[in-house]
Amino acid sequence: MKKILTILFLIVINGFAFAQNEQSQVEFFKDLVYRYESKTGIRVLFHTNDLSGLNKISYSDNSDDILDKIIANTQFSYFIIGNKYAVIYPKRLREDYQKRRTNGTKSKSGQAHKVTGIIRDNESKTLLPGALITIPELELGEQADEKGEFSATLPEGTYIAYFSSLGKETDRKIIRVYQDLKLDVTLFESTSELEMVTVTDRAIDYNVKSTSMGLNRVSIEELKLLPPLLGEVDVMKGMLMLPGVTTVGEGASGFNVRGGGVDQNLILMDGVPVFNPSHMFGFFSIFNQDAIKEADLFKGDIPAKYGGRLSSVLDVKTKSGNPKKWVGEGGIGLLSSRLGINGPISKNTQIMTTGRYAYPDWIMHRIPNAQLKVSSTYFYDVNFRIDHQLNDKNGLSLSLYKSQDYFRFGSDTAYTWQSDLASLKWNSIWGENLASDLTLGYSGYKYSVLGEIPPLDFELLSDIQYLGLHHDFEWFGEKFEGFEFGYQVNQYLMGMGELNPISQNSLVIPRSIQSERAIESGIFAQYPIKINNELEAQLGLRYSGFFALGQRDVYKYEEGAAREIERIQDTISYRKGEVYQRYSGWEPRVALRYNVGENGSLKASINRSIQYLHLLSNNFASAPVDLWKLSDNYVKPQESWQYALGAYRNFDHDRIETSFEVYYKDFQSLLEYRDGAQLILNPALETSLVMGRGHAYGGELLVKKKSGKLNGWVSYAFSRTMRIIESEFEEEVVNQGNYFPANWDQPHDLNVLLNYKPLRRVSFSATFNYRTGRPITLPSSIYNIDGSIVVDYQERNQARIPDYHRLDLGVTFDGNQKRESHYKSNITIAFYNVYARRNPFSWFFQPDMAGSVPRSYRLAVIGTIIPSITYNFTFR
Amino acid sequence: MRKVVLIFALLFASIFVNSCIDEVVIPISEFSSQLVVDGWYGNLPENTRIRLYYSEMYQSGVLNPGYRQANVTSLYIQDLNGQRMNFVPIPNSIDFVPQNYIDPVPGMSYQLVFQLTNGESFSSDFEVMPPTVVLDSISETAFERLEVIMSTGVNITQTRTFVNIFANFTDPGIGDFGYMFMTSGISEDFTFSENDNCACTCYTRVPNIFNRMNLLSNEVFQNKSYQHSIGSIPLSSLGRFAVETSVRTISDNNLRYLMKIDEQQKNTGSIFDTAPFRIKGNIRTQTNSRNTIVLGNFFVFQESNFEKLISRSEIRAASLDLEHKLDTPPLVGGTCTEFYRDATTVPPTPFR
Repeated sequence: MKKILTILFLIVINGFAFAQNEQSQVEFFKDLVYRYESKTGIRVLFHTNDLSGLNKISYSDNSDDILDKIIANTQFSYFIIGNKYAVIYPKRLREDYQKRRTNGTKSKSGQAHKVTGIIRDNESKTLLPGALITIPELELGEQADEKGEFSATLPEGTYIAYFSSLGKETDRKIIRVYQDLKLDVTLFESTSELEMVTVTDRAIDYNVKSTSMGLNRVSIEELKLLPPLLGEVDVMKGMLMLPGVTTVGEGASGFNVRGGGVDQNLILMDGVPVFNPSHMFGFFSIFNQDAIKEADLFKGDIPAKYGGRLSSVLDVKTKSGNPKKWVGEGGIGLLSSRLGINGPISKNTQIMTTGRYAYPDWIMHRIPNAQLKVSSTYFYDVNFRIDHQLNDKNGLSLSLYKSQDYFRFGSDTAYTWQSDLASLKWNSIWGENLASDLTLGYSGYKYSVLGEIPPLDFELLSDIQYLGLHHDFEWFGEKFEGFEFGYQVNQYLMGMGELNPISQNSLVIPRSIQSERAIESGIFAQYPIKINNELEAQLGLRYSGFFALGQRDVYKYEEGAAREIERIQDTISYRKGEVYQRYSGWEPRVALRYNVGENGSLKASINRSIQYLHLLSNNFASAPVDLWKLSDNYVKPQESWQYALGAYRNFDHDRIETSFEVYYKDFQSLLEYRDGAQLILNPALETSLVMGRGHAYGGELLVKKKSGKLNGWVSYAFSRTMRIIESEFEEEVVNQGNYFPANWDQPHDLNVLLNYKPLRRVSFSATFNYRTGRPITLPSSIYNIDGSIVVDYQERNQARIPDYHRLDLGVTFDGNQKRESHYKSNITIAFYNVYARRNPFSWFFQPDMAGSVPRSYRLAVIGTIIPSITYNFTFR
Repeated sequence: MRKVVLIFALLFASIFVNSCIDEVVIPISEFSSQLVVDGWYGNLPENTRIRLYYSEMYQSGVLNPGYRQANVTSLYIQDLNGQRMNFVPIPNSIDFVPQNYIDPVPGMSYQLVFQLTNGESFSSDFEVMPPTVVLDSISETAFERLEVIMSTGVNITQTRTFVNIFANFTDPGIGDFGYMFMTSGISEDFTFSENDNCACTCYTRVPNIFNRMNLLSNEVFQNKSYQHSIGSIPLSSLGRFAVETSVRTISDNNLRYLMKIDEQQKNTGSIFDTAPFRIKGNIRTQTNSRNTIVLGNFFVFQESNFEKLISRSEIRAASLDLEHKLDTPPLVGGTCTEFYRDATTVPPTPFR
């Protein structure tokens, strides 16, 4: 090999035509291959240095043999990989190889060896699914799988292998294949202006060809394209741009998926459940962008390995440390800053740590508002992860997270809440065909409310302790490939409320509500079946059990009447560890996919889920200090069946994805609250709760352009979610036993996200969101009780606040992006709520003074445009 | 760069002043008039009355007092022994007053019973008559608070001083019940004039210095002395203030009902506030008809009153460590009522 060649694979996806006559050579070929790709679906990979050696052909040539024409009578050739990629390369590489074989310099043994390895992303510190390894001498190309791993069998010899991925600079390695070989390759960000596409994480047509329905994966690269709110890129905000995912308003914790409550979403960080994903009432999420690798949202066909929630699973994975060098990154903003560092501490061990701190006080205290002067808020969070490769077949990772929020509005009441997460994962390969992940997880969440008015100064405490063991297996053998199975055991300990005085002079009498304890277990199996070329199925089955454990006193109420504290007739005491209530059930998960032509498919899924945990809230929206409760004698597990149908089709050679899904969900044993329910420090919570049923249905449309200077998506969802609470007792009936919309029933939801990168270092982004106003309960009439005017309200949720809509804009200026640079940076300027709409969060009715008729008010949490500026940096 | 940061900081600061609550007109299309009971039975005959009427349409901030009295065939309060006290309607009002007032007995349970002319019958739960509690004293404490005031057209925050007024009393320790304080007063307000014959001192009635319902459970201080805030007044003038407070003890059930009203009236629509709901009291239909809705509640109470004249100048003198401000008395022509329009220049009894 006389000359070292570097092949830079350029993926040219551009929706805009260029004028040919004045084009440079690069622009000419860029447009040429774009047209070729549009026509054939085959992406053309070449090195810019080689362009001068290729033929120029007529701009109007639109034939299928463009590639043959541009290499005709040149020193170049090309080969096709899997009918997806065409690689243009110097002929000499192949000719020299063939000469060597002809001259007998080929391997004496003639043996073939297995070359396996992984391809990493240097910037995001993650593996690169879909990355390519190509060896022109053999005219061979292989694509990394979903885990970023590749495998190829090569004859003995020495080769030049090229490793590439979209948006990455191609790396070249000389590999000597004289035994089985394992490679670890890191790719760097490309500086080419053409490589503006994001890294694809799965097969290009995964949305069409997989059996998955209602699955959205958002990588951190995609999230960074959204205009940030208050300077932060956020996983949760990204999810809210997807069809079928909504929130009741700014400031509310959590999100709603396909008609489900916020408690019906299983939010995982490295496999451990998160009980409150929000900082600062939802303005930030607990997921620090510097610590996150990717997030999967399952809202349709939920894989059998996930259980315990009815509506969705948001599986967020943190990234591991860089295996080769130390890398630092962070950002400085007006409200919050963050800093992270990761790298190797030995050959087999990497660590990653990030921290974030929000400090809005310095602005709040400069505002001439008496309440704000004595108000305060902050939060911090820290991620730490260490990965260690024990040997070829075993690896360990430990992921830790801690956060604390503090909020005080006015001088007398302060709220704090904190999350502590830990997961220890052992991944191993058993023999040739079986791999497993064993995860031991801990999740702790606690909050306190501090009242500081003497002599009734108090502290109200509540906490959740979760401990879980999950063991998942996957079979890779030729037969039954893709078969997954496993078991899970979770223990919950819920502190249901404790009231304590906080000073010696406080008159508050300590009170404690008995805590709740339970074991939740599950076994699952899932198997993909390819019935024929068109029809594929995914069969999953899960069996879950729930055991409510003592120590506990269970009240027995007078029969034939609504449950009231006054009607307690007996108390049954259960010893510590004694099972006082058990539930269990099968949860089938079935999905089908039928191919319709090359680029389309029809899918269907049926899904049953059982949920043993419930979030208690009778407020306008979910708050960080809401109480979680386990199922017990009176509170049954929530159940749902979801039936979904979908049609998928990709256009323009998978650059444009479209999907349309419809679903119907049937809910049983939904938990609702009675009018005037007391949920805090209630020793007989069941007297405030009622069980009901409900249903949700809707349709979701998504059109997504994945690449190009202009990319983004438009999504629209129509959905309804209704509930009904029936009882033989008047006190337990809501809305006179008729259906009423859930608090988060918002029929129309439209999202538009656009990114435009006209220049190499400048990109613009815009998002627009419109959704129907949420249901609200309005006054029916007024009356007078001893001089106080009281509002009598209509039945629950019979009216709606005005519709919500908002436009956000952002622009990012990239600094030095050269590969060899040790320091890279960008500045993001964003404007949230550009036209300053005062989207109402709620309406409420309050008298000016005692005895006056209440006036009607609108609360808009964000009533103006919010600018933000953040300086982000990376150093290594 | 610092300028850019400052500009963004100021823009950001506008979130907090604009994260707004503003009065809006909300179309209320649905109106249904419901039967309401506002019944009080206690140790004061003049405050023992039953109001039985129909609720009226809601319009923001607009009082519509045109309540319509319900027609009844019978209306009475009875105790557990069956002893009845009948009520008769007062014409052209919504009130019913005792025909044969009977002194209530603390500890005895009472129930309201009535029948409408359409034949529907209703009764309340039995409520236990609480004991009478008399205030031991009223005391005062000065304190500072940040206030936003308008100065030359600009809002600024300034530390101002106020006096917190406390009721001191001793709970009798005979079970759970509630307290309901109602505190009003008369403020002595000064003006000045160039007119030698100016009636420059006014007396203004302040209907409620607590500005909302003032409710308290005795759960944490049974059989103990207790001090409870009954309101505050500004210390930015030197005039005296006559405090008139009444304390009603009410049954525990009654307290819980009133606390729901209080919660409703403090609601600001935030995530910490309960979503609105129909407040259900202790009146139930005897026909078990789910379609019959009756609002309101039957209360039992014992009431006592206490008055005290407090001197703001003495309180200021006793708290010189605080940052007192003094508002300049307004300039008037010949009488203070030019400024204090609802006031009188004739000194009320406490000031004589």
